[in-house]
Amino acid sequence: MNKISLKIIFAMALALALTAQAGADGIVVVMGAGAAALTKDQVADIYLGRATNLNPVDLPESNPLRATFYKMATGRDLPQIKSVWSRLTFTGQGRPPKEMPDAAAVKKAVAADPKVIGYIDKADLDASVKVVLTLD
Amino acid sequence: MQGWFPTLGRAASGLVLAWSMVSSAHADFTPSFSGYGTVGGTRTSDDEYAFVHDPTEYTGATHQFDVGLESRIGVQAILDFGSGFSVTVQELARQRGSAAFDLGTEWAFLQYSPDPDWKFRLGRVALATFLYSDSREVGYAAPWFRAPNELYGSETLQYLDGAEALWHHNFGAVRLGLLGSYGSTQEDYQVLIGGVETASRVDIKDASNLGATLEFGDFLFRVAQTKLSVPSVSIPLSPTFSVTYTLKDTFNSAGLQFDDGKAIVLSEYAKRSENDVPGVGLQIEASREWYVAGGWRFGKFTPLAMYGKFEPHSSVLFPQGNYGTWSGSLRYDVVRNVALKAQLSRPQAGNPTYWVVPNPGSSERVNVYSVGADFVF
Repeated sequence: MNKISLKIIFAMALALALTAQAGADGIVVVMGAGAAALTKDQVADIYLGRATNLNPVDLPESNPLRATFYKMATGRDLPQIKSVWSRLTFTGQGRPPKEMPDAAAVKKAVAADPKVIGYIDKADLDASVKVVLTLD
Repeated sequence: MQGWFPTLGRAASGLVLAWSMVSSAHADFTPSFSGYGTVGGTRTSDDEYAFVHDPTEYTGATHQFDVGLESRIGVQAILDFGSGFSVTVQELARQRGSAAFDLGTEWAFLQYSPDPDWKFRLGRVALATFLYSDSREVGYAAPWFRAPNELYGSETLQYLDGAEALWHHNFGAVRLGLLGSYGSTQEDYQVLIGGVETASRVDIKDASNLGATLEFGDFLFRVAQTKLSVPSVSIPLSPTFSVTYTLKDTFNSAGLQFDDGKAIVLSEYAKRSENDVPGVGLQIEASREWYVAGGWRFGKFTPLAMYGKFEPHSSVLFPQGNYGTWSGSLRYDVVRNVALKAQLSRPQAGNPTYWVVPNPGSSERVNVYSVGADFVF
């Protein structure tokens, strides 16, 4: 195998890794039917515990979409998010977003309660939920 | 009243224990457990000065790397009963007074939250005098290894046995918060009277705290007033005569926080005032204190520079003074839920908020080195 084909394989692997990290089609923030659109700042406030009118839900930490979502919506890495929520938790001001196992569970929770807000990969979007913000 | 609330606290911890044993049988309620802790140590560059966080710590860190002073572990349990009712209990093991490691109930309260804006609490609640007072022990939540002694060493009370009401509301992009709490509390202090270290317990009968916060995006502003009333304080004026009076202690403070994920700016100002000791014309303790801190996140690394100022007024405990302290700290988010930290502070030997026995008026600088790991689980 020559140097050029190695380079091509490396570039392809890198492109694949980057695509997987960002989510092929971007991330959508979703709520139940009839919900109004939200701004990025509003979504950031909800997921940083600065607005308590809605109940946010999370994907597991093992899901790469979670880190990408927080980076895009709040400009923060997961340890910073953990730090923000530990302060809120141990001062009794709030509790971190409830963790859902996957996108299907997020959609189910969002469709069932107009107060619940979640985020999923755009590829997982269907008619059961309404997009309130697109991050890409 | 004094004995009733601690009893409530013990009852609540018993309840949590009982609940954790039967919860598998009844899955209707959802108890949740979480915890935090720090393993770390501190030493100083000069054996003559023993470093402490505040006057409740009897022995300080000197040339010997002291692990007891910084290490602690806390566990919190929340029991949700539904319909807005819940019980929160937080137990913290740390060095208390002369005891190496002692378990204490930080909080144990019953909460009623009729909607997301209101929280009413009864029992042992946090006394949030300053911006970080109620999360002071949760190292993982802070950018520094140690909150500035200038403020956090001057007010050591962490809880009230009483009641608290909290209100938060979002008006568009602005979030307003109000808090009020009232109760009683007590604290064991180590104070320097006439050059002699003396242990004393102070019973605070009436303690109240009022606070207001305004949040806008990454900005947070806070003002608060904490009032403490200590009845029957006895001050010896001569070997045969002492004066007894009710001490009134007030902290007025203002704080600012900015954190956009990259930059961190923190600053707080506080003013402590007391009524004069009758016949002496002096307050036991009065001061003005502030700090500014600024940091920047480089990926997993967060360096932070701090400057703190403690200005005691001429009082029974301290002569008039003006003490500035430079500190630098580094946070490294090494793995999930763990942050390694190091901090260097350079307080003056005369600064009463840093040492078991300060050298009043001395501007000699003593280094305080700390390293540790903060974690949550």
